[in-house]
Amino acid sequence: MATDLAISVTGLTRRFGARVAVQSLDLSVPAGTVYGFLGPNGSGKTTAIRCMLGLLRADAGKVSIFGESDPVRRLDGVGAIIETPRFYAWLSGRANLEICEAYLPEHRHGQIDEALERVGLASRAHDKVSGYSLGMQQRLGIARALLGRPRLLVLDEPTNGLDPQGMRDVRELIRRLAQEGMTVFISSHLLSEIQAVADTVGIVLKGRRVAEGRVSELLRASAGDSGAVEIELGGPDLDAIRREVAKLDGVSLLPESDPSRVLVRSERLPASELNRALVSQGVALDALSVRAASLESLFLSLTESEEVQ
Amino acid sequence: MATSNPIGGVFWRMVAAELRKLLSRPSGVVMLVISALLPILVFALAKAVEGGGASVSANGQPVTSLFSLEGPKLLGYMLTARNFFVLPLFLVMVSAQLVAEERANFTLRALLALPNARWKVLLAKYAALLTLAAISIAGSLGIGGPLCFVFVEGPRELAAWQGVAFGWVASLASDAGLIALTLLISTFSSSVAGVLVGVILGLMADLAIRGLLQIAEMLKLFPTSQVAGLMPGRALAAWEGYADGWDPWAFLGLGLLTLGCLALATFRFQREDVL
Repeated sequence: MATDLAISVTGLTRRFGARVAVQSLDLSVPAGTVYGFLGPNGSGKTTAIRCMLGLLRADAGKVSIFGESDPVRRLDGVGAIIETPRFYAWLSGRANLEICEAYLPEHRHGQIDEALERVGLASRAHDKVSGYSLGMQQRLGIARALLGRPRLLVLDEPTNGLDPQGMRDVRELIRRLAQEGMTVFISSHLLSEIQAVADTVGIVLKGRRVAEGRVSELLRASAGDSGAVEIELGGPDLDAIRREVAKLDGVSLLPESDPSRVLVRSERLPASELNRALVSQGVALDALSVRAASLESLFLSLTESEEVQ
Repeated sequence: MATSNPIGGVFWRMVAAELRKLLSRPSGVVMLVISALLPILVFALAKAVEGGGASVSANGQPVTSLFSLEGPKLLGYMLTARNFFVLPLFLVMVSAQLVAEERANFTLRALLALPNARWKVLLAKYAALLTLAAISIAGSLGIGGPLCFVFVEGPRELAAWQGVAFGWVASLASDAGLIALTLLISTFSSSVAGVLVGVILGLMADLAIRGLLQIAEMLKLFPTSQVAGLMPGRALAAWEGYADGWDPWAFLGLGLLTLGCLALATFRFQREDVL
């Protein structure tokens, strides 16, 4: 049923001259979930978000939000941050929110204090925005997006400029909002951030969707039916480890960015068996850890396969 | 349930929000201060000339014999001073700030991601600018009018003041045209300076065309006075009719300019990609 989807994007295409920024993009964002929208820089994420919000005209395709496709009406019930939020710097944080609230329908008024409270800016609400740090402006942007209790919150890189504490606060806020039934569509290049909060993800590369689904399902599919695992090995003689690993059946070497480690993919051998096999060949190990399946490894494998194509 | 009235309560709140922005910026405040000070300055100058003018000669005649300092006439000088360069320049600047500057500093993006038709957003900005212009005119007239009526000799009957009073009203119509023209140019430029240059270049081109039309008239190639009256430069000066006689072509031109610029600006704003 259409209303089970918070966002439905079908065949969205947007070109800038000869360059295709978004190409036949399809997205299905279930209502009441936290949806992570992933992609490397320049993959078309922000362009797609702008098309959804009516800031850019799409060359083709259809966007509907909670079943509504009219470009103005579909924004009723949506709060958004697009890239770094900007404000009228000579006005206070509160005055900025009041101006924004004036543009909302009346039934969405009266939530300024609550929004400021939620992002921890209530005590600085009357200060001019010109005196705010980048992190405070980011939080004020979230407060602005929360005005009028939207059903759908669209956050494009919401943790930009935030310190670790601020990032944790945003993460917790997103979880709380999701628990209250709000759909959160969050775009970020910080994969660990997305993995920490998202139920469902969509991954775009070069303007096309290459994967979409529940995080757990995608990770399972990425590991394969055999239950392959990635194991990180360390020791005094890394060449010896590589030599012996190459002789083992069902174990393959993977490229590793850390030069003090060897990364292998084991199709059959569990870590304990791999350890035993290497020690029995006289190879000393001082580190062995199984890498948890992560969005990062899924993302990198998809990126690599796209580059090969 | 959503109201079916396209210009409903939200629209007027949008206008108030835009006006709040204008009145909280130095440019808006300075514009209103100048509007209040100009009539006082003109009044002081006129009184100074009146006081010392008898001893100052021009072409062998006392300066005071060259102009009459009557209330309605002085109010007309105040209107001319109000519409001479400085305040129109401020009006162009604040108009450009509401569209071109907001586009350049990305504050427009947040407004356009809210559930309002873009034409309504542009119209709210236009209405706020027009309100600022009306406050500026009311301020100048509110200070200049009593000064001229109470402290300057001259007729007291209403009929003697009607012409100049209509000049002040027509001045608001001229401001409406200038704001519409500026909003149109703001849809092409993302900087206040760019818009200022665009408006000035546009009006200079208009002046040149009107000059060519005058030459054509002198050479009796074809009658051009009506066409010249419709041109933007002449149309924006329709208020001058209080002194030289009203030109209906200039008012027609002003109406066409205002509606045409608003329609084109709305069309462009509606289709604009906002980054």
